[in-house]
Amino acid sequence: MATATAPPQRARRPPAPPPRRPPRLRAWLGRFWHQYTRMRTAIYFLIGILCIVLIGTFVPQEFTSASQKVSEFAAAHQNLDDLATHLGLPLTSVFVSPLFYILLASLYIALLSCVLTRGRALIVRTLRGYPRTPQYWGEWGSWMFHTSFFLLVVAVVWGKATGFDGIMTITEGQRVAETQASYDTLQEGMLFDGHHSGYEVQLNRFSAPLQSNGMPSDFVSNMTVYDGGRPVLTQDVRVNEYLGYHGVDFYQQDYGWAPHMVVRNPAGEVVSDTAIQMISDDKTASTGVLKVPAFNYTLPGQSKPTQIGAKLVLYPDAQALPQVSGASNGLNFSYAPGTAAARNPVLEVQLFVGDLGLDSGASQDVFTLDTGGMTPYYSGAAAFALPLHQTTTLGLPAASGGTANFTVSFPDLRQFSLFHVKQDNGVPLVYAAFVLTMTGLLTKLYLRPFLERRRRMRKAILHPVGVAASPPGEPPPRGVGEEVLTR
Amino acid sequence: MNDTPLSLTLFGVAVAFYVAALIGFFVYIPIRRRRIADTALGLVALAWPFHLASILTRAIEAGHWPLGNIYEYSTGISFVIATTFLVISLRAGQRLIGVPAMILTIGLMAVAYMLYVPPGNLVPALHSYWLTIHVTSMATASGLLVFSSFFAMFFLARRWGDGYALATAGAGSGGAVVSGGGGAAVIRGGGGGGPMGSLAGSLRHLPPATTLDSWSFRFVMIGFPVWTFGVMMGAVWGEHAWGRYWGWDPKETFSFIVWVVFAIYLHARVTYGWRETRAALITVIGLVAIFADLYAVNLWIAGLHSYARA
Ligand code: HEM
Repeated sequence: MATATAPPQRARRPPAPPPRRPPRLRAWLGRFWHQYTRMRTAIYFLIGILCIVLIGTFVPQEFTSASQKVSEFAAAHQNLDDLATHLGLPLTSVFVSPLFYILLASLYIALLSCVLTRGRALIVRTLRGYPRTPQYWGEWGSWMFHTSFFLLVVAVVWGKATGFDGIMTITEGQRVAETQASYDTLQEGMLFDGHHSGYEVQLNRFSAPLQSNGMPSDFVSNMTVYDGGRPVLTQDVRVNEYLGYHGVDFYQQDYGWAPHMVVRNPAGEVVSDTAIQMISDDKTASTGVLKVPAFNYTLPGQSKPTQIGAKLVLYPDAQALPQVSGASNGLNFSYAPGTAAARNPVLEVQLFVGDLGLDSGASQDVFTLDTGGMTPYYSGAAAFALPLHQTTTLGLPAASGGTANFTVSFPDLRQFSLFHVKQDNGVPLVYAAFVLTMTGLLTKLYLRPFLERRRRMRKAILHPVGVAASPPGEPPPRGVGEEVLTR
Repeated sequence: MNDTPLSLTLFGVAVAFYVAALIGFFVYIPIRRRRIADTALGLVALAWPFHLASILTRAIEAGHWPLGNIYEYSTGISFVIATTFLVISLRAGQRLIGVPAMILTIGLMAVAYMLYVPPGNLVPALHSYWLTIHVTSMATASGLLVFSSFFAMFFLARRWGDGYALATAGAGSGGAVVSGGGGAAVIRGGGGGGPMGSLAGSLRHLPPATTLDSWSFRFVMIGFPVWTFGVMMGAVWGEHAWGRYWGWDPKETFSFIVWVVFAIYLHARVTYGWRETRAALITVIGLVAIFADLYAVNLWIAGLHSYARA
């Protein structure tokens, strides 16, 4: 569209080719284009963008705010949001809304025309050897500044399209390959070639030393990269120190507890031996789920082996709350969260027996337990407490009418790290665009006035009288107020 | 913790001098004696080393670059404002700009005091050179850009005063116009009369509108590149710390808004119909946006940056 209509000024040639369009339309398009590429229009576009962005700061946004806030807003302003969505501006995702992109595109099209015409004019002027006035340098500055926005867009789009962005969780001692399957969530760009680097990373240790106020003073993951099975790099990863290897970068984003649990079935076989990643808001109490699909024990009278699962709560620094009843089998203690330090780790285990529902494919989520096909082990789904380094023995009905004992133990408490992992080859180009923006801006705003002042001073030395009238840096009086009154 | 840290004592001394200076500038509005303005200016110059010392001792007490929370940040911006004011009043003889400059300086320090945080450690995310460069640029740019709004407000006031005088003079009621020395001065006549007339008359003690306008522009010229640089350094820090250079976090978004407002200003300066009054109004919007960025976003809208409170 942009190239189809030449700017009207350049129609200097004699009227040789017959107009392909009706002249009226052509004139109208010409006028439209002229208006469209004026600076005034750019101001309106910028104001439009400003308004959208302003909405984006005050309305919770899907990608940056807590999802609860977003749904609260959506619920409270249903009609307004519907209306806005019809107009191409869904209020809770304005930064990816059609209207925002349309405005940006309009601005960029106008900007492109401006950059092209002015760039061409500058090159022509340079080639013809016209004098290098301060104005000339100022225009180069302005040109660089405006062009840098194109470089920026290219850098952003290209970087996102050819790269990927994901979340990976790794437990202490675990080694994970940088492949698609290892990610909790992964977003690959449209032009990403599908090849992940395949090297492995291991989380050797995680630490989050606490200050006296209970906040971590730092959180650090000690990581080793294994390429082709050989360790090639070991370093600490913390918030301001990422791990970069082969174009893929690991950023420390969050962490959590991962209690190591071992389950033995009545036959004494180890049927589950994993570190379970727990989620939490603050690290003083976290929740998680234990699933043992291959428990390998069949209850009397049933055809299929049973499975067990448990909802878990972990208090790294459990504070015991003694209860009224006197029995002391551990059931009558429930715990309250203490600090986030692993001073007295206790797991509260709410055990279920039955069918985990994994076959139906409905509940594959590692953080939820579908208890639809299960019965609580204790009546009222009471939990039992399992302190660190301890083993609890529990009974199930046996064929003989007796009891078959199985055990659940909590041999150690580990931590896991959550990494933001990404590949974005556009970043250096983004920085290059930044450099171009600054260079252009400084050239325009400083080099030009500097050259002008120098020129004025030279003139003042050569012709001391003529120039003194207008003070440096100021336009001549505009004929308002005082000046008018006095003349 | 029970003792007042030295930095806070110095802070109090600086505020006291600033308040005295502001009173001086207020007195100077009706009683236009050079000596009053110079005394007020002297009080600002007296406050300045205490202010600086307060920032430096705070840095030592806290053990980090003193822009790590909103107390330190507000103190820092007010320092930039006071410094800029001293420079322009010494170099360019601008005195009346001391009124808005001191109001804002004192206002910021009052807010800083209300949100006072004892010196202490920073959260891990704040240990970064990029962040230091980023916050320093942002504080500096904020302190500079507010002056463009001050001058723009003076410009609008002066334009209104001129317009009022012109209208009444045009009505032929005889405002006396005297021309003398290098410049021109207008003596308030019976012309406008009433409170409006005397207000218009006193506004005409301000420098000419064109001068105010070019001062306003000059501060955008200085502040805008610094703001641009600061936003970019924020992006570089975001990339280093979180692996994303931009995420439309509320704080980022607001810094973008301020940036666009001043970009609009620069365009307005070269657009007919926009270059004077509207351009001046844009810088005033810019002022509002800068402080919305600083306080509204930090205190009411949560985001990755909101640990700046702690
Ligand atoms: C439709 C798009 C745009 C057009 C047509 C346009 C046009 C112009 C023109 C012609 C100037 C030069 C004024 C002069 O030479 O004195 C200018 C200046 C400027 N533009 Fe734009 N612009 C556009 C978009 C933008 C955007 C998106 C920004 C970024 C925020 C921007 C920032 C600036 C700045 C800061 C200046 C001042 C520097 C200067 O005076 O050259 N412009 N613009």
